[in-house]
Amino acid sequence: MTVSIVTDSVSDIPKDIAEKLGITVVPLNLHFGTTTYLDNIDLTADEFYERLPDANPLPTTSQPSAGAFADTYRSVLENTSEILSLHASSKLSGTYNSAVLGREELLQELENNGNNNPLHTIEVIDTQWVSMAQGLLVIAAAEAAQDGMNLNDLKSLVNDLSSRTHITAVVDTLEYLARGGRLGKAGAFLGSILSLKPILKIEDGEVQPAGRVRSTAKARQQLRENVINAAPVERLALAYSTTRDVANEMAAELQQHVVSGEVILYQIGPVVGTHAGPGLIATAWIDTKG
Amino acid sequence: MTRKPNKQSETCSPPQMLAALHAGNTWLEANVEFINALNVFPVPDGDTGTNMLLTFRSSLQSTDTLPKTDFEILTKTMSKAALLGARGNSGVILSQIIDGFAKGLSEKKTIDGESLTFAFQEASKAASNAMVDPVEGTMLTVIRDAATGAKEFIRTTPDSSPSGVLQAALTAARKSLENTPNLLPVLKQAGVVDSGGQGLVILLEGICNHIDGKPLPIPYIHSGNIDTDWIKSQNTSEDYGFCTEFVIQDMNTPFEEVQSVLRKLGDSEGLIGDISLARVHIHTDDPDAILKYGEGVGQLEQVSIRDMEQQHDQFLSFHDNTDLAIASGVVTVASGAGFANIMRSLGSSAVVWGGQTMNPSVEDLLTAIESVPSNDIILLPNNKNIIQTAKQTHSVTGKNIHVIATTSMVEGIAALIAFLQDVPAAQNVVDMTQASSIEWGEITHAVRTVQMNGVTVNAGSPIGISDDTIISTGNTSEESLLNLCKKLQVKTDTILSVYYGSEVEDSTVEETTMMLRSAFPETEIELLYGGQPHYAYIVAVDNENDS
Repeated sequence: MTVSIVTDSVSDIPKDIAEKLGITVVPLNLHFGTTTYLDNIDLTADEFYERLPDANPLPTTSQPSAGAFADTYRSVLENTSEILSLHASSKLSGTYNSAVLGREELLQELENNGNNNPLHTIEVIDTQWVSMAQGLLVIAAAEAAQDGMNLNDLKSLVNDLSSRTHITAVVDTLEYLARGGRLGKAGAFLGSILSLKPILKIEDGEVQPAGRVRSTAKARQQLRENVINAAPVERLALAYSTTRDVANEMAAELQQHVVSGEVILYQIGPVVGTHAGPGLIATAWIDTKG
Repeated sequence: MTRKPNKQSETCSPPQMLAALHAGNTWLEANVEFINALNVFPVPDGDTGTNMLLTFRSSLQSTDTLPKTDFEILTKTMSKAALLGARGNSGVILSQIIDGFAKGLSEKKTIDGESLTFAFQEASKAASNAMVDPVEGTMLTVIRDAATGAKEFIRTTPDSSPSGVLQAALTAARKSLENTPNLLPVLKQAGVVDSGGQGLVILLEGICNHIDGKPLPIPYIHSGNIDTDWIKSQNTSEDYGFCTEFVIQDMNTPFEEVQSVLRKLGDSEGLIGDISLARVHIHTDDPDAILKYGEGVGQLEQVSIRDMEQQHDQFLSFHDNTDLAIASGVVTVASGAGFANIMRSLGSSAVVWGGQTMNPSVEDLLTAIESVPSNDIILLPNNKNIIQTAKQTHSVTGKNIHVIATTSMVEGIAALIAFLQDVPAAQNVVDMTQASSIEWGEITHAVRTVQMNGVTVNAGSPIGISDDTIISTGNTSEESLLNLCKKLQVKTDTILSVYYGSEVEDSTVEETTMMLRSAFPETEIELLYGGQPHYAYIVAVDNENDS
């Protein structure tokens, strides 16, 4: 029986890929005022970015409840006995914590009902990544699981890939990250008198500064160069929040630098978009081994 | 060193006085860090002890080559040297105290208890006159109470020795010091006594110990008990700016008038001395305005401009147990308050004041280098004439110095944009060097009549310079600027940053912006306050395909 892969909507995995690989995506919550939406389910990214400029107060996000994870695991366990649950960096989201609590809740429940099957295993992992840096690991794990890889080997695989994963992004403004308290060390970029475009990365599970330049064009150039310098890369994903054309163009240009020749183009969903804002372009990739 | 007990002597000779003062100097030196650590007023920059020592030492050293016979010559020389060598508020007050003693002791062959008491009164008076706005709970209070203590003692014990008077003054000074937190609330909040007052007590202790023939005790130990949250709460960068000091010789304007103008130009103002020789000490965001004014009223010497935020940060890191160390730190040279602010906002840890007309010394750079909590320092000289000086710092510091040979402040800014604090210095140097190569130009006035492409440019005319060549002229600086920009590589995807200098009026800035925007409608144009002297405008061209 194959290991089932569970993740959360911070991974921004495109729906078609998730369906094809049988990945279960637990949605985070998005709150516009008193109305709550399930990320990417009740509200699409395009609808979200349309509403964002006029939103007052601005939307907020929250992790799925432990109960939501218990429910998910319960239903997944109807078809499998092993789950690998891969989640967003615990330094940026409480999702991992909810997942751990959800597992405990379910295992307790199964035990109380006398349904305790010792073969039931749920491994919950804090990937220390977000968006498609997390998503690429989830996709790789799901592909390997489909090929029959066992849980232990899957864990090693994710570990190994994670050590070769990178994500860099250029945002229009740091305002959204700062307001959501996700700016971390890149906070040093705030308060500059010059108008600058910051380049950010995720490192050790946190948002970190990766550079700053004068123009958006230069920033995007740097994003391209980061990938080209690492080429050939094993996997590459290109994200946008509102500027699909820019991402498309970059994807076409970078295609030749990916071993498989495939670039996953995806849109940043409402929850990540709440913290990244419009105009974001990001590249996530996994270096080839060695 | 062997010392003969002097306790019983009724008088004191010039060599004895100097020996006692040397002992005071030694004791002050031993406790410099202790005094620095107490410094919370007027700004918590932790340099009181250093300033007092440098002032006192330069005063004392001035007597090295003199015959040790005449009190008047010795004390007058010391007084003048202290005035010239005074550093910081505490140094200025100390120099006045020395001046007061000199006046009190003039025409004396030996010092007795009576004359020393009189000298204390003169010193106290001179100290109060040193500050335009005297504050109680500082050195001023301590020297006054010491003088009162001496007076009381001589009243009840006539014919007493200088030693007795000094002991009485010291006892009173110590008591006064303990009371300073009750007079100055900021001291109480920080839980310290006044640092300058402490310095004065230590100086007196050193002198008394010598006269009594006692060996110097173990130096005071910094207790580190200042609440760092309190120090941090004091950090509002607007309050700092630059500590600007210089000496004016032969003033052409009445002393009081200069004093009142300076008072309007900055904080913590002190103008001491007289029309022939005066010392200015002022805290300001715009040192150039002060220097410009100073140049108008007399001849300036010993100009020193120090970044107080940098002093404050250093002080903070001394008191803070948390690790402030960064992988690499940047020290930049700038003239112009706007440039200094921009450089700080981009992560420069220290800004040394200097430029075309005022090149900082190796020591100026060294002080800044030592203040940055990193072993790897990237130095941006931002001027051709400063690159060599910057390179020389290698040999005088244990830190690793990386000089990026920037020749303009805008090159420095381009480099700083690429700077990341947590990245190893070597990587930063590569990135910053690459980023620093931008095209730039500046508008100034021709210093003499020159020929340009067969056209005569008269001395004083606005000219545009790029790459050491005059490439534009105009009837006004603005016209010259427009012509300069037309010669530079301004493209549609260019960002044109124009830094305007201190001589440009606010209303002109608006017009210049409009002028450039209509000339280059496709270009992103930013006008920023640089505040630089001599150059009306400095222009940087950022092209997308650069670097």
